[in-house]
Amino acid sequence: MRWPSLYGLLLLPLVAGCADVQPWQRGTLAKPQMSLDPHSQRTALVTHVRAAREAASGGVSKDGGGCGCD
Amino acid sequence: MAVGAVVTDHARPSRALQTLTAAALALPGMTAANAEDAPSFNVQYGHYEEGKRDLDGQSYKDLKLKPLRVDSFAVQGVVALTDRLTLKADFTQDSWSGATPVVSLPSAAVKAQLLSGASSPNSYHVDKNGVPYVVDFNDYDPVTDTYAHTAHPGLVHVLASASPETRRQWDGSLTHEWNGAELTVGGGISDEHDYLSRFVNASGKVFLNHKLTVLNWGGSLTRNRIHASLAANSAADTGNYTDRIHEFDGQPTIFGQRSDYAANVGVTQILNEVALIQADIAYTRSSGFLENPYKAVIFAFNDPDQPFDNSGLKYIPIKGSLEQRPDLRNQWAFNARLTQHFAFGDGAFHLNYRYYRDDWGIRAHTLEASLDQPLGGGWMITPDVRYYTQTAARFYAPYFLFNEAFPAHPGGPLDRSQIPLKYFSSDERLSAFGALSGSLALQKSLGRGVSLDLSYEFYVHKGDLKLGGRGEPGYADFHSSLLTAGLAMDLARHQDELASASGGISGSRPDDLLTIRPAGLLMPDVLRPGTWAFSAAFKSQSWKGPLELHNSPVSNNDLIASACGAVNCTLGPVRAGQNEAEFDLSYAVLPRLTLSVTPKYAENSLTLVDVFPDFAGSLPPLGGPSGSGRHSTSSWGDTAALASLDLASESMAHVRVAAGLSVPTGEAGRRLNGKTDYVGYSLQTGSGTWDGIAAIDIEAASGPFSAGAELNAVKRMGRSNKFGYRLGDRLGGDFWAGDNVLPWLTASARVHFDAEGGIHGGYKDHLEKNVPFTELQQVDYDVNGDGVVDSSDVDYVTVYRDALVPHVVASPDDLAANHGGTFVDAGLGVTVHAVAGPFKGDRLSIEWMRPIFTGAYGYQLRPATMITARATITI
Repeated sequence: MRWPSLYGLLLLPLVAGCADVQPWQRGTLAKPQMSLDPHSQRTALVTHVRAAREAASGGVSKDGGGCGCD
Repeated sequence: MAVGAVVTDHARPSRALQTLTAAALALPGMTAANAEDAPSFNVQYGHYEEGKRDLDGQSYKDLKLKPLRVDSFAVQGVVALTDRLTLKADFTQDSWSGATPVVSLPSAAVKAQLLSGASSPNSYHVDKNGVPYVVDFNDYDPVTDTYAHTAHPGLVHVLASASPETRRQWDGSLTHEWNGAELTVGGGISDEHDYLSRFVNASGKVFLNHKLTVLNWGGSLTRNRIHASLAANSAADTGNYTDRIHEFDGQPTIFGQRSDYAANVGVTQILNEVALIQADIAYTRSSGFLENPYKAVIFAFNDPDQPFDNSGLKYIPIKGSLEQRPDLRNQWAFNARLTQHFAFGDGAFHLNYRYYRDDWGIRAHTLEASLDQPLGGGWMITPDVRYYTQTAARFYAPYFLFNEAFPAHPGGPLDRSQIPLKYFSSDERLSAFGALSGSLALQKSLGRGVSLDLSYEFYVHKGDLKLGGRGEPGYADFHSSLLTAGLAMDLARHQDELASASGGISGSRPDDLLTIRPAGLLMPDVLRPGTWAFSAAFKSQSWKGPLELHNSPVSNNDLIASACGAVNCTLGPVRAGQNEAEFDLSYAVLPRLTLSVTPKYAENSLTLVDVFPDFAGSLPPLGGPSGSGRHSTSSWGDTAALASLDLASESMAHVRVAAGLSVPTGEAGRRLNGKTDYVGYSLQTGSGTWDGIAAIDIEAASGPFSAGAELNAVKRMGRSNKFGYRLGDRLGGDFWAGDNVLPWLTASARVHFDAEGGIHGGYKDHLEKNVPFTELQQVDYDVNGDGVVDSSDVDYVTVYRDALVPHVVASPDDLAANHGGTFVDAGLGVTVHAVAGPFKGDRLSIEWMRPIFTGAYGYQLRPATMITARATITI
């Protein structure tokens, strides 16, 4: 399967199967543990160490620099 | 914006609360997707350490190696400049030390090297089936006309311990929010001595469908400059980079440039009241010098024209070479994340999946699941499990075997035209393997928006863990652990709770502080009782050449003849640096008594070059151990603990005294990489002694003006540390004046005086293995010509034995007499401080100092600029 069609297929449920959540029903979604990355600073630290050991870590925008040559 | 955090119980919210929540959620950015960008101040520490690898019988201890370890710090602040504009600033520092693989090869080649005593592996043998053998040329059997030989299949890594490296990254971003969108622009710089990165990025969000759907996009551009010393890889052939290698600080150094363009686009969708999902696709195009300059490959040559010997074995010469990768890498990644809340227990389950592929042939899958589970009482526990698998790059192999004769004369450079490969790498990052890790994190909320967290992760890297098996053999397996600790402060919530506690925030100046002190002072602020203050400071000082004696530059001849005492110097310093990340925690226990503890992480560096006499014409280079190049050390330094007492506190003036101890948590006996001798004194990160500290501080304020003076002394206790020396006592003084130029901005000027005594004693002798001694001994040949070999036949022979030997003085830094002196610096500083709002009492200070008088003892580099940046928050 080619990339664009695979991506489209994965996005399909996002637009099709969503409930209408009113603003006052979003209290749970606003909890810190509901963040997609609740420990973002630790994630950044771990990602940099992993980038020195795994080929596929990093490689996304907003990453910092660094050789990671060890 | 803090109202959302109020909604933490399951009771049906009141109408008023519903209205408030709705109002909060109507604000752009108040979706869970970017809750981490709320006003906050965070400090994070991480310690990563690898376990020992299988070195086929060799031990780390015998090789004087330690596994790789990394100490990381991150300080991050997010502040709301206006209702719609947010500023984020980050500082990250990581220090890498210990041994890491530089090359992999048949284990038989290393065994052969150990038997022959060669300086690097240069050959092994194979039988007709290609199985590697070790031949012992010291064990000959004349009957069969063969040497002892044993099959020794398998591979092994050769590890090297480079000088510790520290990377520092400064970056920041500005985010503007509109009703239906958000835009962030940012940039930063990452600096380590061999690698400089500069980057800019932009990202945005578009809120659709009543903010149930968020479109995310981002892009970044990174430019990198590399200049890596090849001294540690001197055995490798560098013929593939002749145009890139130039001399730098007396070392062969490879220069390169690299660019990375990255872009991503994705969507975040709220599925229902308790679940959301995010999917995005990212593309990165890397071009330029993409090699790891410290990794080598092994070429092995099986000459088909060479016959097998009497043992049925054939000689396989090998040669190391720097690796070679394509100059372009296109990388794609697809990420999907799901967050699902569970009403039972109020926990949130996170499931992340990532697929990665690039045009080097690497395909990788990552699956990670975690649960953020509140436990009550402000506690949260987060178990996490992660699986990662990747295939190898097309040009990866643990070593490269060619069916041809060695394409050059042995010992000479390789004939590159005979190497039938364009690209080759043995970097383990490009091999096929899998990794499984698990972690547990604990977070405790202390109230007022402040929380502490602690986590531990154990990580296993194994070829067998690769999806579908057939990963790299077991020689490459390793495990590691990562410990992190952090302090996070939600400033919006902090403001909220302070406001409710005090009935509203008012006032026009930070009334808990009499003066705004410059960044570089020793003593903590005067605090109100019950107040905590936390400050993170970064101090950087540098020294520059040429070497000086009594403020006059020293010629190479004088340096060699006089700067190292009784012996000749073989090395001269060209520059040095000292960087400290300092974390100060103060607590006012009583109205007049403040206790503070200040741990710090220190990184010292010294660049040395070989020195030759200033004679016309060419002389042979001096002998002696060459330790040229950049040396650095990094570790926790000494920890100061102080109690300061307010003696007289008027509305316009303070007089304080402080006393305390410096605990020797730093290193005072660090040794050279792979050796038993010590590094130079300036590279140690601690004193090795318990030190007494005393200080007196006077400060006064009148209108916008303030001024102060501080006198402090450090007394080293005991005769010497356990390494045989004692640093000199110190006496320091500061005079400073400040002016509140604006209500939120103070400018200051400071003069700093520092008198440091010389080092007492010196490094004691260290145990060296296999030291050569020339001794008169009985020998097994006829010395006196009497026809008989007996006890009267004695001769001078060289014997090797372990012995205590003195510290080698190779550079002026190795001599105790070249330390200490009297120094005066002066400089300017600015402090930004809030007079109201959530940051009242919190400050950001930067100070720049230059030397104005230098009275150094002996031969020393000239002090240069000193910069201190400090962020302080009060709790």
